[in-house]
Amino acid sequence: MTACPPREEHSGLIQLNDDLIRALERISEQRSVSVPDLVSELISNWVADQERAFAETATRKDPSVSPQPSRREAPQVSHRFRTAVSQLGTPSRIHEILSECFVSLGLDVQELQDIETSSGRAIVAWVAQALKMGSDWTAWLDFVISIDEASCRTLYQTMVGSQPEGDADLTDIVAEALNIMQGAVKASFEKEGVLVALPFLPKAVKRATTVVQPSGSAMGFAKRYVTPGLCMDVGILENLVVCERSSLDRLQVYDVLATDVVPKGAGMTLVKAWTPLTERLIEKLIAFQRREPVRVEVLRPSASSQWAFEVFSEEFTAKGR
Amino acid sequence: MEAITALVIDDSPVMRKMIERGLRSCGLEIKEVLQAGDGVEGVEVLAASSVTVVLCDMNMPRADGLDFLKSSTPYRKDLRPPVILVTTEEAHEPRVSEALSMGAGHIKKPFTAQQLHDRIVSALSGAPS
Repeated sequence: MTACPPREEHSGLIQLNDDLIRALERISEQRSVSVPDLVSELISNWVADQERAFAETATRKDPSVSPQPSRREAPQVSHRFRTAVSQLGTPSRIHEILSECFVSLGLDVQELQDIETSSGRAIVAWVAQALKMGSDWTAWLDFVISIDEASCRTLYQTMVGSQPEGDADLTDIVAEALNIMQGAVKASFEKEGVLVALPFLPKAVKRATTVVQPSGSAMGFAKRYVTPGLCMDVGILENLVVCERSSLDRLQVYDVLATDVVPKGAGMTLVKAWTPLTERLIEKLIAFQRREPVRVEVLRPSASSQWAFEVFSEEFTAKGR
Repeated sequence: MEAITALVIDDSPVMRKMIERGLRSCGLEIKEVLQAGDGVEGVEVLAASSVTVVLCDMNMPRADGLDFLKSSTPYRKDLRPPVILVTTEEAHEPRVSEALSMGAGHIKKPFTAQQLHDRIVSALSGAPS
């Protein structure tokens, strides 16, 4: 038999709830928002905090291998997040869109396989989109392509009409194919009224990499496309967007500005929305703040993007965003 | 129509090759295909050369398609040479529609040689994209 808790604890809990309700009623009046909406907002923020904390605990000791979640670490996906990614009817609609891309690139898809991981391929490419529905940033979509060198030569021959001259041509063509694919998915989202930010340019690198689902993310789409002379793995990872107002001392490289930074006194845009922050940009903002306060709203990169920043670090250094 | 000198601006060398291939197979007489890796280089080439048409990527590091359009204005009197944006983005997207309002044309990747031909002919004749 379970003993009842001491009465004082009950009293404390009831007292706290009363305080909370009074506080909510006060805020409700100040903001002209109903109490149920405020509660919903609080819960939503709490879920986002929990998921961010979850994502931040993902360990990435070896950047060539993104961490495989254990069964107990199943991705925590909020209702809001599901709503965002179901907008396109994934994965069937995404498959339709990508198949159209293959056709437009001159590739005839003969076989399609479901995959869980992609390994042993020589070249990997990545890009990420942030989705905004209504007034809320809802999801990061991380697109990853993994392809072997022979397939890459077929891709190059098909798209360019000549033989690649070196590794740069091989990585470049995969990045371009990924760019076309993400562009087609982006256009479909936008037709559904979703705003899509593309803060980073597609990156590709020649490096044997195992691509698996990082902790804190959900595998939205993972297929192996087989055409004559070509085998390409395409994955789309879904991650929750954490969008928050940040003081400048908490900014980090690769945080993405959610809005233009327009200090009141400057009268002009200091940094455009959707710009990924670099050390130099953060320094610039901090220097500006010595003249007047600067507040920024940023999208924190996803767990999948953190993996990509490590795999493509040289590309980021050489080409910027 | 006179032989065309095209300026292709794209940070991807492969994409520049693909556009050049499209230009040389689209049925137009091509005199020369000049290349630049971003908007800054693009303005430099434009300032130093006689160019008939510019094919410019939108998303590039350093200076993107919009930056190129703005900074190339002194070298494009009466919007000549015309600029055609080559991008995966749709015409209605904010940055593309801003570029269109500045007189640029637009072609969506991937494109066929015929689509490239039609877009260039239309841009050179001054027709809206």
